[in-house]
Amino acid sequence: MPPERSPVPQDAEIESRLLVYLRDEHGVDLDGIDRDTPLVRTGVLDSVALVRLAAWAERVFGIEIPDDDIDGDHLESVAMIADYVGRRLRERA
Amino acid sequence: MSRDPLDRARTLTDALEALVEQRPDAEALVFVDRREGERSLKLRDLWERARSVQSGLTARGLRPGEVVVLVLPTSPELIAVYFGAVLAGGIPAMLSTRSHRVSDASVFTSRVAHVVANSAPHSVVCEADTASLLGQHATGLSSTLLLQPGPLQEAGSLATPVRCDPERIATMQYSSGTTGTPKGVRVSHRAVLNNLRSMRAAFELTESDVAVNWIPLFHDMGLFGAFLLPLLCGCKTVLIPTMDFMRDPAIWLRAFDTYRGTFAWAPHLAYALCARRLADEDLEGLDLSSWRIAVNASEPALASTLRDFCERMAKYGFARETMCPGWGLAEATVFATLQSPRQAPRSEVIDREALVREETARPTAGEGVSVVSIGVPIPDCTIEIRDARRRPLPERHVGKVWLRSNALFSDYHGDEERTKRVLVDGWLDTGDRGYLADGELFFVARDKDLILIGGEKYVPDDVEAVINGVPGVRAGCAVAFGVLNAERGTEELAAVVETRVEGDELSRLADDIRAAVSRSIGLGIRHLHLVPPGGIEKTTSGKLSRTGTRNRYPEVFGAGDAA
Repeated sequence: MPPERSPVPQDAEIESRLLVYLRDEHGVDLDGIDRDTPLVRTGVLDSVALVRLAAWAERVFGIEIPDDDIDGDHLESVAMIADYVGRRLRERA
Repeated sequence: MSRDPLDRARTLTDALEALVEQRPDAEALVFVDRREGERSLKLRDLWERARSVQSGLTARGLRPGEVVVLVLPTSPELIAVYFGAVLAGGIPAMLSTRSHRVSDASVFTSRVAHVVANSAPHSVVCEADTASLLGQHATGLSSTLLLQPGPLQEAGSLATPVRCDPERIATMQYSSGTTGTPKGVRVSHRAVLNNLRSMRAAFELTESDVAVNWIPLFHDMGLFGAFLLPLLCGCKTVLIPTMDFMRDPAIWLRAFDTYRGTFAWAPHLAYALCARRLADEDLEGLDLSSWRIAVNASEPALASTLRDFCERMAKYGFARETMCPGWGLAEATVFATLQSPRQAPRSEVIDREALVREETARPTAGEGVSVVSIGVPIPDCTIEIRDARRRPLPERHVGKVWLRSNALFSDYHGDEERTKRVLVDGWLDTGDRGYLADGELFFVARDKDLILIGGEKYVPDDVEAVINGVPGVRAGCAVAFGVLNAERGTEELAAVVETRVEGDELSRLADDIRAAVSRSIGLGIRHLHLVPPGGIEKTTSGKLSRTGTRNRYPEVFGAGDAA
């Protein structure tokens, strides 16, 4: 019998996991940001941190993020990151 | 004997040819990446590919002494084209491919266009996607010959490699700065081979060493230290694409285990990443005991990071002596000083008052400034600390670091004036400040005002120019500088900007400034402060004081962001 595929996480669930990750791995003060706060051009996530975040998202959500998408144009805020991950998940499903 | 290729060679061509003759079937180059796993290249195959590229370039009109610009990722193709250009008597100049840092394609392409304008190359070699970007955005390149590595490697008739004089230029390095006039540092075959020989002696490298590196090859450290040095010493050389390391730093450590790696170069931030950001399960079962040289260079080393890395990796077999802080610069080919691979890193704490008031380095048992030794000069290299009038200073006196070696650069391409300013009577004015103690070099601060983030150098003038272009910013009234984040092990970008804008408009202006710098330079401003006109400290001559502002930064502005 084929393994059950888990349901595609909703954007809200993606966001909450992302917030925990940002807090635990990057020391981001969650009280100081909202889902639209820019993280890349404010230097909260420098280029190294952004690549690591992409690698984490790939691992945790089982998606692929090409090198060219790892920048502020695609992943500037919590909202944009969650949206991007959601889209990749739906493409995969 | 294995030492011969480097000992007898007068040019890079000689060295590679001799190496290939000695061990044609050696799998000298191994490419490890996160997708394709492992690909290896035998020396004989590398030689054939390089010879094909040589023919391909010559057939397309390349003449000895002409520049070939390479915009390629770490790969067998990059290596083949680099050597192919050298065999044809050309001068390769490598640039970064468009990276995740710079989101604006037109900024990437304009940097390539600047380098092309400065170097007037025969051609630019890049992959199809880069060629298409360049075609779309850079009108300055419309008459530049764009070539792809594939067709160049199709074997034509193989001509003899060009034999040139060792004084001829082997490679051109383009150093810091994203806009404005790029500086092309030109090094001769003689200088390169001299520096490789000195490094080999300093590291005591033999053909049984194994190099494992992820640093990009378009920087001097990558090209000469992490690639040419181990290769021409007959070592197995494992190369990992930079982005793959950034995604998963453990890929570097796993490769040490797999290939019994002994030797690597990395900027300080890589050791900080590995010390603090990897999970225990990423490291489980790794045996790093073969690793005997971890060069820590290109960024100031922090004692706390070195300690954390050594402590964490000790249980996987990493010895403290393996960590080797060192230093060099492109104007000395790549390397000048090194902490001995046989000793643990040395650091000391010096008295802050003595440093500031008397410019001397006095060790103190109490609180003070922590400094890490970057070692003793490598063979054929001499360091002298001098005052502003170029008079030599005794040990423990802080001054400008001057360097003499047999590996100094020939000139900055097309800029005799600037060359003459830094090369004086056979000595190089490195622009750094430090002191000698027991023959070891310690750095205190930089004269150059460069901002070092993630191992990359950024010119504050570039950042300030972008900020000055944002409407609402008082023209010419912005200073940018780096602020150290010890925990991250690297600097963060700070900027103080004068404006007449007030109230609600301030946060909109802050957004605009951040967006502009992010797009143009690929950096986020971590600490942005908007101040009213006249709010930035000035020097006695009335110019904005970047140094003063940077030195007073934590006191004046406090820990948090103002905008």
